[in-house]
Amino acid sequence: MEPGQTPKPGVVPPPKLHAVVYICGDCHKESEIKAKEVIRCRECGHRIMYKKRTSRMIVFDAR
Amino acid sequence: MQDLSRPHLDSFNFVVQRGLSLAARSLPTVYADAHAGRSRVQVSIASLELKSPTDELSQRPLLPSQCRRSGATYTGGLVGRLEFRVNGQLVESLDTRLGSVPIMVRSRVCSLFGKSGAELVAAHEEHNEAGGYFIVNGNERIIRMLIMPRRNYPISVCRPSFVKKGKWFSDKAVIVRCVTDDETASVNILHWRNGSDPVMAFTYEKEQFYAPVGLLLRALFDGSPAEMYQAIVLSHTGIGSGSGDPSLLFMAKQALLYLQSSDQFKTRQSVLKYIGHSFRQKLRVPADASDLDLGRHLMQRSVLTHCESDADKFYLLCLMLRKLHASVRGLCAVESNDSLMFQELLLPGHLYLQVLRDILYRWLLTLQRLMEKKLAKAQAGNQAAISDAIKTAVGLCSHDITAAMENFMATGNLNSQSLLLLQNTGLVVPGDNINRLRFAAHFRAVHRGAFFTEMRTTAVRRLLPETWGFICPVHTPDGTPCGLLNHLTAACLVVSSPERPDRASLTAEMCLRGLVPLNEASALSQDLQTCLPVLLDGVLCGLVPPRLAVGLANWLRLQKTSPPSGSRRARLVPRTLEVALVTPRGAGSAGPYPGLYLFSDSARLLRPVRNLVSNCLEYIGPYEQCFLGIAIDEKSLQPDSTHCECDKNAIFSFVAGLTPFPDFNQSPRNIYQCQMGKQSMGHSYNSYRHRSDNKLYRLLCPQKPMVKTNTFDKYGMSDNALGFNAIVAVVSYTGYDMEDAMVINKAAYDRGLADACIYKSQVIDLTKLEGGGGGSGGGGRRQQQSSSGAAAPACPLRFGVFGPEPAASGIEADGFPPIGTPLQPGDPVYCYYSDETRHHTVVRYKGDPGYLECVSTAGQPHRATLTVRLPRRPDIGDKFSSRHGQKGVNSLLLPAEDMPFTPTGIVPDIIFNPHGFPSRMTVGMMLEFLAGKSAALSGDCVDATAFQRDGEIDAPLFEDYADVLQRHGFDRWCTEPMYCGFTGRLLEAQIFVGMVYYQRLRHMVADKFQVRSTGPIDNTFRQPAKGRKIGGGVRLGEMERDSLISHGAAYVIQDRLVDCSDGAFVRVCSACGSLLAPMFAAATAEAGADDEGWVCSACDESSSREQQQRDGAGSPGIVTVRVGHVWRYLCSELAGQGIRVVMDVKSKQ
Repeated sequence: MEPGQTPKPGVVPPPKLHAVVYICGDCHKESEIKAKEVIRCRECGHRIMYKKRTSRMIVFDAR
Repeated sequence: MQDLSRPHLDSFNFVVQRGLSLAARSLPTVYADAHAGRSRVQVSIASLELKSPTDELSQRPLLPSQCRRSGATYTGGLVGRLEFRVNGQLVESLDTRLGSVPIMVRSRVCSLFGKSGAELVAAHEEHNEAGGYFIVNGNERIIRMLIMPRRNYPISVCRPSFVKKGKWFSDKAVIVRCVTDDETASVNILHWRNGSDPVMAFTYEKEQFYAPVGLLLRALFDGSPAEMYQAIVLSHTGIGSGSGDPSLLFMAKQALLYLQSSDQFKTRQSVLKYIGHSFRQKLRVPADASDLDLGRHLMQRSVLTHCESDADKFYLLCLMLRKLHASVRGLCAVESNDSLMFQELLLPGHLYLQVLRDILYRWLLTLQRLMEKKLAKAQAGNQAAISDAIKTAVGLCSHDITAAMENFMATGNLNSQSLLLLQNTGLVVPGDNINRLRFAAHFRAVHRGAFFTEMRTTAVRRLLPETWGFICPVHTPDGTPCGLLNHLTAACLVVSSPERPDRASLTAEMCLRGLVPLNEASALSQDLQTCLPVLLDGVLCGLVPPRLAVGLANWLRLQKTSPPSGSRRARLVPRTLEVALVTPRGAGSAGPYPGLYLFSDSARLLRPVRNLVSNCLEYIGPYEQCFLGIAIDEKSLQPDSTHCECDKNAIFSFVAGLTPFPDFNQSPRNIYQCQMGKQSMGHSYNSYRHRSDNKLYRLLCPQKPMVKTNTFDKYGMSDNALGFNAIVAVVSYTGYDMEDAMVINKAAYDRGLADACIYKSQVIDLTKLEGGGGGSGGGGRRQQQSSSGAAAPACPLRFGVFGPEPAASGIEADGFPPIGTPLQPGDPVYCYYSDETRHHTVVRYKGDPGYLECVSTAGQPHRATLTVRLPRRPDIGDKFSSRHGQKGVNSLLLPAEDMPFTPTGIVPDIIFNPHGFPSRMTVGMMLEFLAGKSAALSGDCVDATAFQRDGEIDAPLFEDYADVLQRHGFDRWCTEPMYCGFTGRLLEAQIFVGMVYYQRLRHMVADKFQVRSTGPIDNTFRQPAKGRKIGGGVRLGEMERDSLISHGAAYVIQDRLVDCSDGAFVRVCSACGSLLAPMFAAATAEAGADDEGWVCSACDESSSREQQQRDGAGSPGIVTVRVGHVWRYLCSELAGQGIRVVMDVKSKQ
């Protein structure tokens, strides 16, 4: 759907995406990843960032 | 642990510290003429330097862990100082970055150099990271150590292939592999020719040439022919038939006779001119060089290159002649290249240097061509134009070095014009890290060379006594590489940078102790006839009378082992010097060629022993070891013992040293354990999080063995344990334990026994995706090269979900599912967006079910690393082994209530079948049952090092363990009564129950099972395709077919070979039997057509009818037969060759 378009009736608004947090591989500072942004740590400039594990329950059939 | 990769690291450090500058010096100067030949421009590399790897954007040191995780290459800059000369005058010197070359981890230029354990952990490495490998595209690559002939030592060989080289050639020759300081090697072969003079083979740029030895002698020596003659017959070293051996004299005369053939050969100058003139076309030198210079250049580059002066070359050549003569006459033994005495190693750093030098050499040649082109256009007298032209030329060809070096490291392949190696592939191997043992073993591995793997004879694979203490007799793979891929012992060292003694002062010192220098020796006296040559690194220092030789050798050895005296003065005799005195044997027995051989060069093997004279630790080499009396221990000293072993376990490699009680096992079982130890899953890293290996195994609850050797503690293997202690009962219980199968207790399984997982990682680079995402295929490649630098990438693809539309369920805004998501095949695993097409693409997961373990980015929106965890609980069919070569497959997970139990209530974890013992004779494993049980009872680990109480029959090892068992109220010999789990009745036999350390091997059913009914087929033959990856089948071959026939299972054969394979129908004309003639003719609806409208085009209507009538009414002319498609295909192929296939069909009655 084009950004400027009026939503048609009947179209369900998409579920809001969760914020995605990444952790710096060097200084361990957390930062949120935003669209179209250079992916590196805002604190130290380290290149390797690890995705943070969500607190949401993911494996439902865990025994 | 860190000592294991020392040969790799030290040799690379040699490259960084000294090798590069030596290589720069030996690289040729390239030249081009400018101003129509009036001025000559020369370019040379004055110095070379390796820079530490840096992150180009942040200018901070680049860490190896970053490269691993992001799939990059760990490179540092190669900076060279180029000097431009015009007509010999230095015009400009320019520091240029020639390229980026891979850097060895933990070497001097590595970012991790000198870091402590804590700092290493902070840099995401192991606390005991040893280094010694390279990182190329995120993978760890190791340069393999290869065995080479010993450098700068003339070896007398006998090879039947030499006879084929030409007329008169005999099979005898003396070969010397000359290696210069910058590790460039060249081989000279002195051939004996029957009834003629010897010739010398030498190489120039990989091409071999022959020259009469007389000519070379003349070209190296100023003196008169009489003096040359005297130098050749200098000494017969006490092995000839007394003074003036007539055949030696004759040989010397014959060698010099060649010089009489022409007036050109009278003087040294004229011979050099003659040689230079003959080789003018072959040599890469300026066209205006004189013949004399060309001759000198050739002698310098190709003949005995390790000698610095021509006199040294001359005297060595004379010695080689004498040795050749002695070996032909049978006075000295023929030496073998397969013996470790005459071998050394090609060290990783040295190979790296040679490859780099070769690449630079080729680069210089390219530069020369470019310079010629550019300078042809340059204006006369314009200096600036000249230097501009050169700089352009340098810039044009400078990216070659990076690519060539990276290609060598990534593939291990070499395409070189000047490097003389026996193999061009397999020089670099991936360092697969199944466990720490496997990885560490790579650094101790020594390969004989790919050339020998195809050899039919087994001579090269044999374990020779010379290897004692240097090469482990246990640690070699079984199968094809057996005996070719060996491993260094734990104590073995390799000299990686030469410690040269000062030759002049050493010679002077030796002269005081009986050495006769060559300039005095030429005044021939009778006494000198029996003198032994003294060779230091392939240079003849002088002669020593036999009666003084022993004293001289002893003095050298004393100097070598003495503690450093004056701190200011360098040692006269380095500690790594190899002193080998070979004395003449009595008449009638041909021993090795006598002499005093001293080696101080690099790439030699060394090992520590105790010198009994000075009572110091001495490093000895494989050559001198053969001539020393080394006692195994204090008790077995002999009158001629001069040395004593430090440790009896020193004959084992690091891996073999981990086997408990190996001295109680049948020897092949220890060999198997060395293999299986390297295949077992363990705890490879403490930094799993930062790794991105393609496949990484992990045992989830590793344990330290209760029965361990001192090697285990010495190398801190408990940091990377690779097994678990299990209670094992030796009993034949369910029938599920036949044929090496083992039963595992279900309760132990539930508690997590042997639980493991696999991490699979993948670096996803969107620029490398197929199609390149909308015409950026070419751009993608360029992006790849400067991947570390580009801040605003040109790639239109990037990970993430942009805009309001949800890409796929479960994908978050960054384009990946949340960490911990279970992944089934077909689930969305990542999503990317194209700026060009404004569309999202969702990529689905392929592969085994697993969980998303880790997602990391590498600083660019189009590059990410995904790690998936695949759980691998022990399954039926998984492979396990104890540490005694006793492997087995899990066949049943038996509930605990059905397992047998002891009166004390102990239920074993594993049931091992007693039939595993009698034929394998692994007494060491039985001992481990006993020792493990006693260790578990007392709580103390047991030392299971080999040779603990060698020869003490009164107090065998196991008595101690039996005493502990008895003290704790168990049976002395480890047996216990047991009750059947199914019936509760007492088992009739006493059961051997103990504790054994088990390894879980990486071969697992989940990675191997293959099943199909239908699936992909071969396009041509329509038979099922092969291979698990593509869902193919397993071949039901001839032997399986024979078995089915013998069982009379005809329908199974029909099912397997036709119905589930390439079953097809073929129409045959019952009249002519042709498979090709039947045609569909429904449209014409002829009378002769059968029910489906098929007629035979070959048979005419009438004959077809006749046939029909003969067969009886109702029998059709065209019959449908079920055959395999591949047979139908064969018939068509045969028809193409003009061969008719006829099928004799009869209709079913």
